[in-house]
Amino acid sequence: MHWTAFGQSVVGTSHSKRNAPCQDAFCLQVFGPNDDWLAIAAADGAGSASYSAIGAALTASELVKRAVRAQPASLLTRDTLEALYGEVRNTLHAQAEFLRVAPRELASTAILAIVGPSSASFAQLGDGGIVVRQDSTYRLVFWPETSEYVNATDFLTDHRSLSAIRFERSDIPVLEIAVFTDGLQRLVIDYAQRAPYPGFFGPLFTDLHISKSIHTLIPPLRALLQSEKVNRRTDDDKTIVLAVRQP
Amino acid sequence: MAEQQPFLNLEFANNPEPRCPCVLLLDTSDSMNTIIENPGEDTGQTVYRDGRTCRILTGGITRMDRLNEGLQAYHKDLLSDSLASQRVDISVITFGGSVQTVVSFCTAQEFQPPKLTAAGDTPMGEAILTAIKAVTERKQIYRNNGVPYYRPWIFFITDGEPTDSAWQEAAAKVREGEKNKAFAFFAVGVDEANFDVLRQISVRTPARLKGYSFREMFVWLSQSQRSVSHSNPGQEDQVQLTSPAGWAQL
Repeated sequence: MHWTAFGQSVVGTSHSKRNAPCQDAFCLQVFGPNDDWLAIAAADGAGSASYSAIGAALTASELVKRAVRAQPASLLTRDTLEALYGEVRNTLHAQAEFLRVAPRELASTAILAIVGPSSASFAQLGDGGIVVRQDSTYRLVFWPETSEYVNATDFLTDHRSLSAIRFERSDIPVLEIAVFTDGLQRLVIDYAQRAPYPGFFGPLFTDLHISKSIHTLIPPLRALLQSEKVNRRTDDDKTIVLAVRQP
Repeated sequence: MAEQQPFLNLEFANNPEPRCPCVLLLDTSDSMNTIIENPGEDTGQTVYRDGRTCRILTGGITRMDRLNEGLQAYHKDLLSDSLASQRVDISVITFGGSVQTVVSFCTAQEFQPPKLTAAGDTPMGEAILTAIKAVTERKQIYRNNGVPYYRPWIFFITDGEPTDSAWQEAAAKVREGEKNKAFAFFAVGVDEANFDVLRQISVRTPARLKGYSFREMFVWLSQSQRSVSHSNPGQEDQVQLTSPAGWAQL
């Protein structure tokens, strides 16, 4: 078996109006002795932080870089992923020191999915989401946290961030997975049904399965993320990473 | 067969937009009829109204006229922003003689700025209690319908002082609501507004309107709500509001 995987980040209209950079980032890599494991990270830099584009890029790349160095099976525990987040947080703090700014200026959310042939582990700090298919239905791994004013989000640079990480291990094989940032959340999750929106994920993964090459999928995915029907609903940066298991 | 263009058939979930509720709580007592520009003829008649003795003049531009212009500018500015016009939920409650809900909550898109007229005394306390009740009920409606929302704003404008006895109870409720983050209460005083009372009501420092710059104030309000409505619900405290220096003396 092997993975077909790719992703895209597109700058939001409110950022492009202000000439602000895209503050989303993602990273993905196949790893393990048989190349049958996949690590996906996505990060959404805080709009209020001045170096959040750097913070998000570092967060996503460092999470994946450190994950693929590990023994794959060791990544299936909360302790390992929490320690890995801790190392990335230290990197962010070191980068903040180098830039002579407060760590808060590199604030970013952090999602990490580790998917193996028969097991998977998921970690999420802050908003955004992970959708998986393990049987016939799509499932949102972590439902957005609810406080009165909905999702006051957590950032990796925060003091108590590690204890706020949500973690799940699953021993049912993952067939399809999507990781996305907050910019797409309200378009791809049906809040009334409390479920991923099948009219979005169904055709999306079908197209991924039938495509000959992911390179032909990048322009249409970018076009979709930049389309008027998306921009009418969100002005935020938006990122989606997709992967399907091929026999 | 040619390969079909991918990703053309995707549909998106149709979730309700988060709402950013705001009560405009406006003084329409008789003193708002004070003529501030182009006074007409002095009729010589003297009356006692809204706690003051006034001379009746003909014509001229009143505080109320300027406030009504401000409401129009507020609406226009919100409409120029497609997300804000779907998300900002406006209600107008007035206090002049009695407390009236002139506009029930509706989105900026649906909002029709009312043309307010001024008459009567200043039941400020009852007005504040009515506004707090309105935002509390509105939040319950959002919750019942699964609509996410931002912290409500109550934007309070007066040129006088309370003529009812409920204002101390109202002040206690404002403090409690601010403490629990149930809403944010902003007070603006015009001309001879009683700032000793305003400071007892509002936890946030009351702003003194520079002259009659209602228009500048309402455009600032719209732009602040545009910033909030583009943030994530729950993160609006991170939104930096622009300085109100264009219209306020703090």
